Amino acid sequence: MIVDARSLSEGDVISADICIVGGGPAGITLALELSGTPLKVVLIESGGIGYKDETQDLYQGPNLGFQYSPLDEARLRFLGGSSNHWSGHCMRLAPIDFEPREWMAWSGWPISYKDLVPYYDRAQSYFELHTEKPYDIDYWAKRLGLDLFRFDPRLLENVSINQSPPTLFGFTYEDALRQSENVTVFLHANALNLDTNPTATRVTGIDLGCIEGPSLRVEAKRYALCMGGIEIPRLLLLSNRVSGPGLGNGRDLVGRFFADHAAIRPVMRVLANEDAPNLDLYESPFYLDDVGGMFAAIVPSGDLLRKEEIASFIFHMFPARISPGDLSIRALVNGMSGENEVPYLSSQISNVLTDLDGAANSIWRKVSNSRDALIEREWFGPWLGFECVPNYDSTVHLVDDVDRFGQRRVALNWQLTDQEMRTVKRATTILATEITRTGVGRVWTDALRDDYVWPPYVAHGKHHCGTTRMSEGPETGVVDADCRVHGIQNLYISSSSVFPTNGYANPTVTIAALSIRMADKFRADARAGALQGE
Amino acid sequence: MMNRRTLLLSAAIAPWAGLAKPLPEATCDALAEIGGAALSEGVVPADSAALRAELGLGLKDTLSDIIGELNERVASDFASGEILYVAGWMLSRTEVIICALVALDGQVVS
Repeated sequence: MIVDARSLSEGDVISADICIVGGGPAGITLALELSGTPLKVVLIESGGIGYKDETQDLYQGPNLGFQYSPLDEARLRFLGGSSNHWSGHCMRLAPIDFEPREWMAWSGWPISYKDLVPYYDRAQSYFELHTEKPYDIDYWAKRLGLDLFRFDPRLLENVSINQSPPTLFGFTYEDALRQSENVTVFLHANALNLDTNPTATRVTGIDLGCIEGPSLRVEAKRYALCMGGIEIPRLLLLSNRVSGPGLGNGRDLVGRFFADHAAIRPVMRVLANEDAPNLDLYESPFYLDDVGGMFAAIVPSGDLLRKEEIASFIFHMFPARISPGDLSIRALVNGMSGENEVPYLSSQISNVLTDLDGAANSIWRKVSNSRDALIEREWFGPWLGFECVPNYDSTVHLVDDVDRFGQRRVALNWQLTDQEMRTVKRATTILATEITRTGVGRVWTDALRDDYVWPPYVAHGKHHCGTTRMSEGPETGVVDADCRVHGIQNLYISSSSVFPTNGYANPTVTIAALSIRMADKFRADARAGALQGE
Repeated sequence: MMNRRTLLLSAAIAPWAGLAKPLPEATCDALAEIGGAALSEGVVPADSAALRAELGLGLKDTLSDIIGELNERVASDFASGEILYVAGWMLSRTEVIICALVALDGQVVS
């Protein structure tokens, strides 16, 4: 059932066995996994069926650190959550991502890759993906008759990215939620505060507010926060009536370790040799009638990461319409017109001198007002996405500015470290070396310059990870291996916020897998009469 | 007439397939630019005799005399990681030496 919470009366109390907060992929997956069980489930969603400015405004907050999207553009606040604007790229984390990595402080999950495999398998269908060897890229390349790059497998591997349509969780699962007999979705209900018992060891209720609507309350035996890696720490930090630093924040770890996937697009340009593999399987998703989409990318082996002591990374081998000479011409023209300072001036001039095709094409396009190239060149421009290491000083924290409910907003202070820069340089070197060694082509890049700095635009995945990290004990994290908040009997979190590290993979499938795992636990606990966690 | 693009492609970019025929008597500005950058950055020594010796070139030899060997050397450089970063390009050490020789002594390419 789906209910507009604004139709309820002031002071109404909603009762349930399970209260899920947040109607994105995490919350909807959890709700659907619990649908059809004897449990009474409510799902609280801030937004409605569609986008509304006044609801989205609740997401506003300043960016104080590394370049980032405005916070009210980095996520979406209506049914389906940020699945309403996602790419649909589905990947699993790699086994090494779960392991403690000696060279990476704060790394290591309290669960292993094997623990998640059965839930990964079950998650596939939620994203409308094929299930026949979905991550066996060699199998699919052979079946489709498409090329793969063959680099030294001790260094670099091909990996399959499954392409979801993309599934918009609100749109796709609205009917299933409406028809569920034991799940009720309350739209336009904003979670404002988690109430607890006097020792802050049990959540007793959640205060809800509606824009131009009543104040409500939900009381449940168990609560699951599924809002995302920025809003979950916000709500925990705001819930400070009993626990001064915020709920679950006795160790000052809530909101810390914010991490995303960053990317340099492209990080190099490659002039392909004639016999280089074609990019068909890398360039865009490939579909067959009987399977979902998939495409390939290049990732490091676990052994390479251990040897190099770097963070994980992924290369997308995309074609590039512009050459280094083209880029230099553009930079020089912009610089000469006073629009921007020309970076690496001597390098730009050198590029023009050594890449006359690019220069000729740039001038041709300028004079002809055409996007066509005068001289055909087979360039491709690998994009490098990379893992950001756990960083205590990379934070989501409350600021004084408040929203329409009087709730303090959050600021994002994303910080990158020298480790990310080292990862970029080593990853670039390794791929470039393999490209040249295997005769694929010739590489040009500025990322290996001694004076290289982060470019003016570093892409990010809007994958908000780490802010309520999973850990064995409360000293190093916020939730335990079951995603239950340390020290609180009935409060759980399903979100990328629990990822201690995030590898190279897009997080959404892992989020869904964690929700499915959580639903299994909830059902088992309910059968055992232990839903309240006594 | 070979233009810079062809020269670059044949020599510095897709090199040794192109070098299966004698290098043309053409201006080598592109190679010289890369060679000049390599010399200014100290990637290889600014010593023509030492560079020629590293390539196994006699005093009166030209690159065309040892094309076959160069092909093998370049492949070997890449296989063994003898790759240098010059002016943004990832080049084999052998190629960089050639570019440096062009910058120092253009007539080596004849």
